[in-house]
Amino acid sequence: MRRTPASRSRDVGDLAALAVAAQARAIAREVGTLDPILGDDSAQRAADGFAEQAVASLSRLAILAEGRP
Amino acid sequence: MTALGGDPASCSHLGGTLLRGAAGLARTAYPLDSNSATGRMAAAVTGELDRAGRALQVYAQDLAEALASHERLRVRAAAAGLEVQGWRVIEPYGVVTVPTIQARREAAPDLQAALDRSNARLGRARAAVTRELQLAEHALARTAGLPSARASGPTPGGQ
Repeated sequence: MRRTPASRSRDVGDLAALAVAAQARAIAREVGTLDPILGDDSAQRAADGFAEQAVASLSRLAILAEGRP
Repeated sequence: MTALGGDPASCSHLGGTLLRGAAGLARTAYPLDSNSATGRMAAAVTGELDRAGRALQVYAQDLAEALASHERLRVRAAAAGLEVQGWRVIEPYGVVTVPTIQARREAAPDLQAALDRSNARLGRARAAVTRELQLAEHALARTAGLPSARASGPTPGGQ
């Protein structure tokens, strides 16, 4: 079966989405291992909250990119 | 009074990781349709990682400067026969001569003023990084349709 430009474009998009998923998971893993010390309770809570949320959002992005609900 | 502490290297490490991650994710997501759900979410996440990464890098620099400045002032205070505790210049206990007392009293106001400025700068840097991280956290939560990890903190336009 001949591949049309539209199907090739879809394939590129699918590959890019899988690459995004892999990269998002890799960033989430790395962010999850880091432990910055800001030296102040309020700033520390903000950093911890951000890191927690970043890991959750990156995981969500990976799931979306993989085409899973 | 701002607490004296923190580790600039660890803040810079996370900031750098976020900036590299944002740049890499932006490159990888470039072929995606920007109107697709994945394209939109990748762009939003990239933006917030970049925002937080920048804020942490700036804070790491400010914190390093504040700690270095505090150490320089501590050395200057010691040379004048004074001590620095936290952000305060104090006269140590002990019997001293009148000229030493006079020298201490001449040096103390300048040292204290320099410590106050450094303390205020660090306080502003901490407030700024806290605000940016909270805003990035809220934006990420909104993008992902997830509840924010922490309920407190500023919301965009709500400060």
